[in-house]
Amino acid sequence: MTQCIIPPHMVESMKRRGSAEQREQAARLEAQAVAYRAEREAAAPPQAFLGARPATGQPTVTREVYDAGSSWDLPGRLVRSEGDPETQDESADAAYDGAGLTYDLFLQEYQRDSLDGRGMTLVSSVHVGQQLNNAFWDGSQMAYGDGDGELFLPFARSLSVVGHELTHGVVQFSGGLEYRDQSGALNESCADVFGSLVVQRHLGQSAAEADWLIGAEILGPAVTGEALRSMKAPGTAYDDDVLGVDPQPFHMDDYVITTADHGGVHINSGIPNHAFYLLAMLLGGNAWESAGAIWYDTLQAVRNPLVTFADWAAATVDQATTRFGTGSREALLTRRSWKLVGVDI
Amino acid sequence: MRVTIHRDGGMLGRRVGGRVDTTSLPPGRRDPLESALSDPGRLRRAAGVTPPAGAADVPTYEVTIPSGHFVISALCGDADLVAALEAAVRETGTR
Repeated sequence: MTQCIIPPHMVESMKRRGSAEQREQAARLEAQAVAYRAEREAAAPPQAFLGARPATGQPTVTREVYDAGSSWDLPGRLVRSEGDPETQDESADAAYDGAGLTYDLFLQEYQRDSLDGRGMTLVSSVHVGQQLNNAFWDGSQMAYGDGDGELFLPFARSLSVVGHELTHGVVQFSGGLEYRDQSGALNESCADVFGSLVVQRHLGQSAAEADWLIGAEILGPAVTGEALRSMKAPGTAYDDDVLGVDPQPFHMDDYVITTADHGGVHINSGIPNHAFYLLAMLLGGNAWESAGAIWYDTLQAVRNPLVTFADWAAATVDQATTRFGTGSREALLTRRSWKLVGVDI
Repeated sequence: MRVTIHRDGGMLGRRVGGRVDTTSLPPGRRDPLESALSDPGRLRRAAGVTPPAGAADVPTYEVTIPSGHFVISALCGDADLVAALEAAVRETGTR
């Protein structure tokens, strides 16, 4: 459909500044988006749109880690269940520990019992594929490749990567953000935000002390760079002969329009990533507290799977106002953070 | 057999790949690739599988062989085919 290619901010520009024909085209695109959204919501699984359901009773984490044995047959062979001793397989144990730390962040800070809010078992597969330079969330479990040993090391060894992949599950069970264009970039950004917060909380780091890097531990010895992405300074994570230059923008002036990577979901996520970083720094203290709570509340409140940066930004201000009050420092600084990355509310 | 293959997306969001001439590969690497990629019906079936809603960071493979062009998700359900597609990407010399 056309909205795959033309990002919502361009449609808005067409409406405001286009010729009569372009304004008509923009109206058609918006109508298509509305129809698509209705279709999506009608097709949403029963567990979607859970909203913020506080955990009750005494929730406990349940984890399972599997060894895929270099194949793509998931999940593979069970190597560690909840409460089992360490396996001596570094990736399996890191996936197990990382899942626990991510579970703890969502339960203890945001009162969410696992990815679905209902105590879902956290299933991870390690050693997926041969020398696979990737990790992913398949809609029901995490999958981690081993890397090729030169560019990348085993992906499960990075706590921010584990937190990132699990957060895709939280996004999915919070109603979902369509995985393309701006909503896809927000999906990716949420995964980076909470992935980084898992690390910061585990290390007891304030926003000022944190490195705000995603995947710092998995860059191989042949790479010139420090991580996959930097929320503090998008576009600076690596500059390498093989990987190229980190393409992330930090401001809307440099928004990348592309059909690759589902409309640049891993590229333009740099903009909301940096907005979150700025908010956390402006607020000071621990990022998982006020800033993280505002983002989590927003994820629960937004009901539009095709949400734009501007809509999401407005929703963060609404949630900051709801939680901290009208005219509160948190609400004002949330608005300011978005303005600094070129998203006007 | 000449194959053009690219992998897009994944956690890095990078597009890598290029061309492979399987006839130039030793049998141990050539045979599994030709076996997997010479069946357009298998590729078509795999291309018809959409990843589950909510899946993220999943690689997509774009394959062009003499009989057609296919876009296949790593979650197509054919694990052996995905392994062959990954091997083909490696044969292009990109990572």
